[in-house]
Amino acid sequence: MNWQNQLSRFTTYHFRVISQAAKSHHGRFILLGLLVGLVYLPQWIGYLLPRALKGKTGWFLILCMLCMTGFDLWTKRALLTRFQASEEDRWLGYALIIVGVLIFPFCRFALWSQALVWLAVLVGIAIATWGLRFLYHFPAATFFVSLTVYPRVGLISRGLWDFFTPHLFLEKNMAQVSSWAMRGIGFDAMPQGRFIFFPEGSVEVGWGCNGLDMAITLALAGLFMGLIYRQKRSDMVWMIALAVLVSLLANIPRLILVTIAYVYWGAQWFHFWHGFWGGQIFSGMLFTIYYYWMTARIEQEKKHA
Amino acid sequence: MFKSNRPIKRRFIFPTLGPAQSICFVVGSTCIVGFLIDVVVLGAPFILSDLGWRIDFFQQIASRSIIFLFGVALILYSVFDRRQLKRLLATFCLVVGVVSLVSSLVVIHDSLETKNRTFQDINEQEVQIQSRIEASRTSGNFPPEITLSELEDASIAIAQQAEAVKLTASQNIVKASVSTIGNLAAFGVGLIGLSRVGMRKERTHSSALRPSLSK
Repeated sequence: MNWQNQLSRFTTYHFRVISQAAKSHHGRFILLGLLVGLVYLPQWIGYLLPRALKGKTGWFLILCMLCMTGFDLWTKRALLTRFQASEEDRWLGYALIIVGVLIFPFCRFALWSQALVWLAVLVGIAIATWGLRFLYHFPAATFFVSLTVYPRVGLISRGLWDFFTPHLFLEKNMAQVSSWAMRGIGFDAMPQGRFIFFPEGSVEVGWGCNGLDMAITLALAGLFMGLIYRQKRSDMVWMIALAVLVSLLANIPRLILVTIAYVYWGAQWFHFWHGFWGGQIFSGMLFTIYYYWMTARIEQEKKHA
Repeated sequence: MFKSNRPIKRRFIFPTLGPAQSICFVVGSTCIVGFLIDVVVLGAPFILSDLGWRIDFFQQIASRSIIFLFGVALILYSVFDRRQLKRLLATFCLVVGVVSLVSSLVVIHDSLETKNRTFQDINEQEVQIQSRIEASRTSGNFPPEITLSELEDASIAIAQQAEAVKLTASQNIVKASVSTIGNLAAFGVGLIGLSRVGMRKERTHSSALRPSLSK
C-alpha cells in the first residue's frame, strides 16, 4: 500500500532526526525543552479549539501571528545558518531550559503559568542554538511568539488597557461622542457616564462596544502588511497609528447604528447588528477600506522613490 | 628567630588589586552585606507558606534588589583578572538571576490569589448586609421613620459601594504586584547580563564574527 509506505518512511525519517539529536548534549537539551511544549500543546489547543468552533476569532489572529513568525524566519533563513551560540549563550540557554523543565510540573495549575514557563524554555532553546543575538535580529518572530504562547490575546490587551487608562475611559468617551453625533442627526440622545439615554430607553456601552479589540486587530493587520510589503520602521508606525485611528472612528457609526437598532427598530435588528452578522459586515468593510488605502499609499510611495 | 625563609603567602585578594579594584571590592561587599542584613531582618520569622508574608517579603526584596546588583557588579569588576573567581561569580549570578525570574511567577500567583480572596471577602460582606436588609423588608421589622423605598435605595447604594471597593482594591493589588514583578524581572535580567560578561572568553571582536544581512 502506498500510503503505508509513505507513513513508514515519514516515521523512520523523524525517528532518525530525533535519534540524531539525542546523540549530542545540545540536542538532548533541546529535546528536553520541546517536551515541555509537547505537554503544554494539548492545553493550548484545548483552549483555542472550543472557542474557534463557537465562532470567536482569536485563533485566527494567533494563526496569523504564527504565520508571520514563519515568514520572518524564512526570509532571513540565510542568517540563521550563520548564527552560532557562544559559550555564555549556551550556558544561559541550558539554564533556562533546565529550570523550565524542573518547575513546569508545579505550574500545571493555570494556563498563564504554563505559558510563561514554555516561553522561557523557547527563549532558552533559541539562545542555546543561535545565541542571544537571535532575539534582536528577529524582532518580529520574538514579538509574535511571545504573544501567542498565551492563547488569551484579548485578555492581555485588556489588562494593559485597564492598567494604563482611567476606569471606563474609552466607554465613556465613546458614549459621549456618539450621542453628540446622534443629536447632530436629530435623535434626542443624552450621555451619562457610559450610558446613552433616550426618551424611549437607554443603552449601555460595554467593553465589547468600545472598539478597542477592533483597533488592536486592525493595528496587527497594519503591522502584518508593513512586514509583508517590507516597509520602513517609521512607515510601519504610521500604518499602525492610522489603523487605530480609523477603527476607533469607525466604531462611532457602528455604535450609533446598534443604539438606534436597539431603541427604535426592535430586538431582532439589534441582535442582527450587535451579533455575528453585524460584526462580520462591519469588520469586512473596515478591513477592505484599510487594505485599499494602505496599498494605494504603498504604491504611491513606490512611484515617488 | 622570627624570621622565616618561606615566601610570604599572597593573601586572598587585596594585595594583588590596584586601588580602583580594592575600592570596588570594599563598596561592593558592603552593598551585598547590607542587602543580606535587610533580607534576614525583614523576613525574620520565615513563614514561606504564608501568603501575606510572601507578598511582603518579595516586595521588600524587589525594591532593594538594585543594591545587590550594584554590589555584585563592583565585586565582579574587582576580581576580573582572576579567571576562576570570575567564572565562579558569573555562575552565581546566572543562578540567582534565573531564580529571581522564577520567583516573579510566584508573585503573579500570589497576587491573583490575594485578589480572589479580597473579592470573596467583599462579596460575603455585601451578601450579609443585603440579606439583613431583605429580611427586615419582608418581615416589616424596621423603625417607622424608614420607608420601604429608602431600604431599596440603601440596597442599591451598598451594591455600588461594593463595586467601588472592589475596583480600588484590585487596582492597588495590581499596581503593587506589577511593580514587584517588574523589579524582580529587571534584577534577574541584569544579573544574567552580568554573568554573561563574566563568562565571556577573551576574544577579538572582529567584524567577521558579526553576521549581517547584507552579504
